[in-house]
Amino acid sequence: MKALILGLGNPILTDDGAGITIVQKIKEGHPHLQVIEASEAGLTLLDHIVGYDKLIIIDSIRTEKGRPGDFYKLKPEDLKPATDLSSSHGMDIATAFEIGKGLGYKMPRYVSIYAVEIKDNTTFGEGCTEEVEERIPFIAQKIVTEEKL
Amino acid sequence: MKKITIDPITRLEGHGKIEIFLNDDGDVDKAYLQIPELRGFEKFCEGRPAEEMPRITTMICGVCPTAHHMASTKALDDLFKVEPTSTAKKIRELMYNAFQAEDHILHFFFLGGPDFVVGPMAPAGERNILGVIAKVGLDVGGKVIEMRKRLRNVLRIIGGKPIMPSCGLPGGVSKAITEEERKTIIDAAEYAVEFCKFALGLFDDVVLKNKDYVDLVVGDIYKHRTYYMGLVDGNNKVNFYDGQIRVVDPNGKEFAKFKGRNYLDHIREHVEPWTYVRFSYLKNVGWKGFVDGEESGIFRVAPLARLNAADGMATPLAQEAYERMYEVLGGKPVHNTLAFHWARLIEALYASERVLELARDPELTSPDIVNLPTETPKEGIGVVEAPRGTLFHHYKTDERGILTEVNLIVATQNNAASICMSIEKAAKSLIKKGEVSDGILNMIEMAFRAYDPCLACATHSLPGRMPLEVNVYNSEGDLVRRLRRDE
Repeated sequence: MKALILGLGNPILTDDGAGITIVQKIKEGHPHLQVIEASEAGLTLLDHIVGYDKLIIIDSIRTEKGRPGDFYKLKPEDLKPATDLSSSHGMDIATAFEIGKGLGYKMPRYVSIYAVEIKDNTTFGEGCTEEVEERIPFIAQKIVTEEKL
Repeated sequence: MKKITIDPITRLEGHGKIEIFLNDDGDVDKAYLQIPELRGFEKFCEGRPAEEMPRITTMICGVCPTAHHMASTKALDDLFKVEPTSTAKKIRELMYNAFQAEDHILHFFFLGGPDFVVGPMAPAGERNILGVIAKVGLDVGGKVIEMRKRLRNVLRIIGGKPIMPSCGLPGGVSKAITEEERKTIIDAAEYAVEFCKFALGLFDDVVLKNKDYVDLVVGDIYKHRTYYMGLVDGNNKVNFYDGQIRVVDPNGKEFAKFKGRNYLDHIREHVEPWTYVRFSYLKNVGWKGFVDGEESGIFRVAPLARLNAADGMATPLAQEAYERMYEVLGGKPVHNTLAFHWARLIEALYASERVLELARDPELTSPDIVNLPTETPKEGIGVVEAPRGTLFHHYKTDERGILTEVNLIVATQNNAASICMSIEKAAKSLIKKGEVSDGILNMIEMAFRAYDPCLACATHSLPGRMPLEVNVYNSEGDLVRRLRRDE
């Protein structure tokens, strides 16, 4: 089964780069895995994921009650409520998925989304905050185990 | 009416928020658009070599990195006082137009278009690209994706990387074009021109032949008499890559024409306590508040504004389409906000024709692609027309080229005041005596979407997803209605 691990985020926006840092960690420990780091959104992601059977997305998230360093496992459907608000620009990943399916592309059948709760995604800077940085090795290992990579 | 203090910091959830305040009669008193602030971009850049900026600024916005890359590269040309080679200019302009064409078409079909093609009153679940595909057919949907794919390939060929371009150098570009690559580019451009012609035909069939839509386009809800700004070439025709900045007044008369280097003589930024976006306005008219008309310094940028500010399009098919639009809408300038969508398609056609023109230019494959800088750097300003409007990059460095000061005026800042006006006007027309209808979210968003605002850029923020929330407060300051799609 062809699997892709896709890390999302903006690496110059402090914790927003957490998804990217995590996949870098995974790649370090497992060089044979197919890993992509991406700082784009919407349709461009479609370009990356078409043709894979299994897709693991790793990204950052901010929720009302979460603590920095927590992480969650989601499915694309879970993202719909957050993303169904009017898009002023660009397109959310759930819609990108739908479009891919609608156009008959070979979309991954198994999709897991891991989101790590972050502290700061509003200050420009390279590298994550301490609270997030120290959790990254643990989260990376957990994902590898969970997904049997 | 009860006075509310709006603290921008309280609603930082990554949303854009529209706050609407009603007076005692239940009519709209004021509407505000707020977006979250991202801190420290200028600070992040200071102390770095200026040459890093074309790479760094592509990370501001994941949707239009090419616009920042180009403005940044041009700022470096100015900083190092080096003129790019003729071939380099052509390569840059070709790449830039490929990007414009792709971006505009994407916006029309995926973002703005759904309002028209599917209908503003259609349920939210249908008013998206899937609804468009359902309406126009899978074949068309496939063509949009194909055009995008081919143009992205052109960007990859020139830019060096699939998404974030990295080819810009002070004085030129880093990579020459081969004859083989030229063939691929011509192929993509021909496809794009055909598709843009089709898209304009679609707009004709679906929008212009439908009286309800036309009423919406020419109606008063979505209309503002403002100044208009855009880059023009030596013949006053629209150019995205280079030229002088031209401003026309609400009657269409030329008000100012200046080089990018002198932008500070003409453009100032206004600050309001309830949002972090800085609102651009014309210094020589002055800030008079969120009002339109000749006395107000508010100006608009982006497709409709560019067409208003220019005397025409530099390519034949686009020129035809330009003339038609003004004929149908009753002459220049056109003040109807929804016409941005029409102008966007005309620009996409121009951009495609321009790519084809440049792709056929014998000089394109010349190896003479860079002039090496020799001057000591001090200050540089680069200006381009991003899809969403005029974009300025301004850098100051020490004599080693290390940044001491950075200022960006991004496209959406230039439209920010108009966006606020448009939202307020739509709200005032649609909310009366406390009645907030369900269709209102869509109608307010339509005002907003016409500008294709990149709120990401406007606050130097994260790519593309900017969900909107609309809150309506009564005259006591109590929240009476919250409109979001998930509720």
